[in-house]
Amino acid sequence: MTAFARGRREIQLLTRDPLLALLVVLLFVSLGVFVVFPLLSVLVKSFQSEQGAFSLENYTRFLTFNYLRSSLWNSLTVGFCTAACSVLVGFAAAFTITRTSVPWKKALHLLFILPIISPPFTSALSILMLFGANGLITRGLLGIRNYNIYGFKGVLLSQIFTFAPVAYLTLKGVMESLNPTLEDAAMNVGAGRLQTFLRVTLPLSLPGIASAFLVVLIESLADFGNPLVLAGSRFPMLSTQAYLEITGSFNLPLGAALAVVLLIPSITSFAIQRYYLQKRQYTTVTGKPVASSSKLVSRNARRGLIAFSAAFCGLVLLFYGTIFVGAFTRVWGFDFTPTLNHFAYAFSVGMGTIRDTLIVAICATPLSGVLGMLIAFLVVRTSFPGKGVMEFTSILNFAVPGSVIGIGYILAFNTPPLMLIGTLAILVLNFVFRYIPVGIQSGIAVLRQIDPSIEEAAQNLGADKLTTFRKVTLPIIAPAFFSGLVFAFVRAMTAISAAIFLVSANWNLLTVQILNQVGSGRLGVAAAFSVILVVIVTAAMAIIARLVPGRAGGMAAIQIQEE
Amino acid sequence: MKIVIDSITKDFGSFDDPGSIFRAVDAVSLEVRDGDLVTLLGPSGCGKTTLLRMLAGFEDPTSGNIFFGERRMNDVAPNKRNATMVFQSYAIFPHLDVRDNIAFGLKLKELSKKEIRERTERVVELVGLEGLEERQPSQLSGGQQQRVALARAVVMEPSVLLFDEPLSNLDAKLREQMRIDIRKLQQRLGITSIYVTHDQIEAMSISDRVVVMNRGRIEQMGSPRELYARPVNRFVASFIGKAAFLPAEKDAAGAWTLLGKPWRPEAGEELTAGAYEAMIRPEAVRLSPLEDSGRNAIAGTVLRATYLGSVMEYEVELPGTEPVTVHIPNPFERDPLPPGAEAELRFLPEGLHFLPAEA
Ligand SMILES: Nc1ncnc2c1ncn2[C@@H]1O[C@H](COP(=O)(O)OP(=O)(O)OP(=O)(O)O)[C@@H](O)[C@H]1O
Ligand SMILES: [Mg+2]
Repeated sequence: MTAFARGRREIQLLTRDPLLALLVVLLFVSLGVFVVFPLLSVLVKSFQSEQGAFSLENYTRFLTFNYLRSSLWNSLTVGFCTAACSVLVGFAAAFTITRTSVPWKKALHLLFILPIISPPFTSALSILMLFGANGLITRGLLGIRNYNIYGFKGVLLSQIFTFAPVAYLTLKGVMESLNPTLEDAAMNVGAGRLQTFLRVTLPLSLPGIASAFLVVLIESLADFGNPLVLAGSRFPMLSTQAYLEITGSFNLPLGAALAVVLLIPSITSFAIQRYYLQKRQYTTVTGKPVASSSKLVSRNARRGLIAFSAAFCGLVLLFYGTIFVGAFTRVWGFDFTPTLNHFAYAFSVGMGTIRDTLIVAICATPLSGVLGMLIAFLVVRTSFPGKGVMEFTSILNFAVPGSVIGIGYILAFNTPPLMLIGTLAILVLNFVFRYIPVGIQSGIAVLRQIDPSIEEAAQNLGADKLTTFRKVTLPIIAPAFFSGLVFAFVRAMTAISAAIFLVSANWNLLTVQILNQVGSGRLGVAAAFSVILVVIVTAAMAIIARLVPGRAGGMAAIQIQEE
Repeated sequence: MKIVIDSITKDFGSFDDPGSIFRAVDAVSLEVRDGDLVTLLGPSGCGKTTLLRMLAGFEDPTSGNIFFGERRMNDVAPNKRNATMVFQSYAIFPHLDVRDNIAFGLKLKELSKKEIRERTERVVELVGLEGLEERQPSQLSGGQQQRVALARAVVMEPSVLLFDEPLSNLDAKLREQMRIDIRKLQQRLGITSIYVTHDQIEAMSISDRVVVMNRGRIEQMGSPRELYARPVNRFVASFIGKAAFLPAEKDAAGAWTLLGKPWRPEAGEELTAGAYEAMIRPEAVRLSPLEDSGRNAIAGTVLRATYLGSVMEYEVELPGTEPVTVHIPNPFERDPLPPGAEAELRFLPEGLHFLPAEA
């Protein structure tokens, strides 16, 4: 059967299930409009002069202007350093949690991942407050005047803090699925602890480590908040430079060209991660955590790991504490009298923004959750022509830096019939299509763990595809679905890189507001806004957790399958 | 409902890369009469599950046709086939309790509450799950899960029932009981069934006809008796029961030799001259101490004697061929022949079957 004949066969299968066919078509159209079209717009724009004629001038400018060229170099340097350090930190933390018996594991884990759910400026802001010109540590403790935290070191520190938790989560998954029996087996045949670690644990987790490295690299390249606050004008970085070209110099084509340049390393890393590394993971997801042997870690190593973990947790607490105290302090660095002024000010100027942010998040969250699960279901469980293309486009945005997407949206949706600039819709659509990849990925992971014959059994008993999805698949994947919701909500509340291009007088977001306050030097107000944001996010997570069906039916489900 | 499988083939693998294609089912044709139960028997990986899945509609045949009655089923969606299946991996819905699992299909049919309850209760009793109706699947043993899977399929009273090793996880006693129950139920409802198993005893005891498969092809199809007594080749003969194969030859004059020695088999008169393998079942051999009587007996040496309770099993070495297994019923009768003893073997003519010699 040729590829063509098979395509025809798949179309035949689809026509059996017209509702499904309709769904597939709708998804293709919306992915085309809201994912591919904006990216193409950026690409096209980057090859235009400011007058709109075809030209390579943006790229020649990029290559000839030292300042612009160095932004690529800076972004890459920061990216690689952040990735390397984050993986180190993440691995140590993951190793501590999965392979040693530390006290308060649960609390440690929560502290490790706390930075993931915090607003993008938390660490940047605390770094300014602790190590800036008037920093508590630099000036207050060490008495250094006018210490310059801006540039490479500031961004690096802030990014490690932000992204090490991402590496940690990835590596924790890797270590958990590495069967500890392998380590026991190595020791059983006479390998020492170090040998076991070097010859078994490390090589087996290497693909996972590389994968975590690339994920962090992608995130670092795309990062917007930290560079904007901490890079400073002498250390240009790509994602922020593209923004400044557009909003500062109104040079859209040049901004687009910078976005395209940024896209290249991101997409490359993504491709390597996805199509090369993922096939090389030795880990088999069994879903059942195997009792891990703690024999691998000697006493001293265990002490070292615990000390290290405690240090990272200390840093997390320090950063959060700084923000919190800063929000209630009159003038940070000079006058530490407690005050509620910042909050009063924040509420007086920011009430509308808080409302807007909530509306956007509440609209975007369920849409993105449902869409993500639907696509995951279609990709894993059905076949139709162009399935690979659908999967690829739907997770493409994972690799595309937010600022590129933001630029794409202002380019793509500023003419009728899709004149969306300045509306609520553009913010919601942007969040939905930007954060479905995560929902899709976790949906796919869960679905792959469910024995397909469970769904077949439903069909076998007379359920059509959609009934099967509603009555069998959905209840089983509910936990993953809800955690996808939490993620989407948190992201919608805390994202900045794409949103900053899309906010307007009518619809503004809290993160943008925080940035403005940092920009105008009102660190106390920025801290107050951050605290408000963290409170909202935490409350929302608690509410969603309440909504999750009490029976952990789904989780139990997965475990049975493994028996 | 009659099932007709017409030269069905299933290829797995990518069509863009012909080297990766694997033929799991190879031009299988089969007819199951209305109300019959046919077993598919064969070694692991021979394509039994794949064949069932094509009947249920989960795999599309690469070529060939499937008919239920007069209706061609190839393009009928799985949920419209009315052919319920007991899955090899059970496929119990993990989020539903036992009762809801069993009633799942009935509810989709939108039957009355009362009917759903009655039918469910009847089946629960039939498979012996009383008292477990409220249990979550994670609280069931493997065998109980299997019974839920069975109940869920049977309760639909479909026109075709497909069983994929439905009893593999039950203990021997329960398996025997369930086997009888399934057969009774199937006969009472007259549901045409296809039943996959590894277990030849199960296959022989439950089926109207047995299909022996190997590497995606049908080796032989027939009643249990036919398959046991008249297998068409060595594969079938050794898959169903034990057998020894001794080289035999018939010359143009009609005289036989076995292992190169003259022999009067009292069977095989109808065969043409040529090389054969004489298939000998363990219970079709008589064994006695060597008397050198020359009465058409073959001499051998006892290698091993094992007491199996109902029979005495001997391994007897014959010159120039593989050892022959011999079952002597009623082992109380006399002292067993010790290992190393010289013995003579006589073959009962009814137990003799000739296969064309294989290369
Ligand atoms: N989706 C698939 N892709 C590729 N090969 C497959 C697929 N499903 C089955 N096969 C192959 O087809 C062959 C037949 O598989 P099948 O499951 O039908 O065997 P079976 O006879 O049911 O075996 P068992 O008795 O172990 O259940 C096997 O070699 C198997 O590896
Ligand atoms: Mg099978």
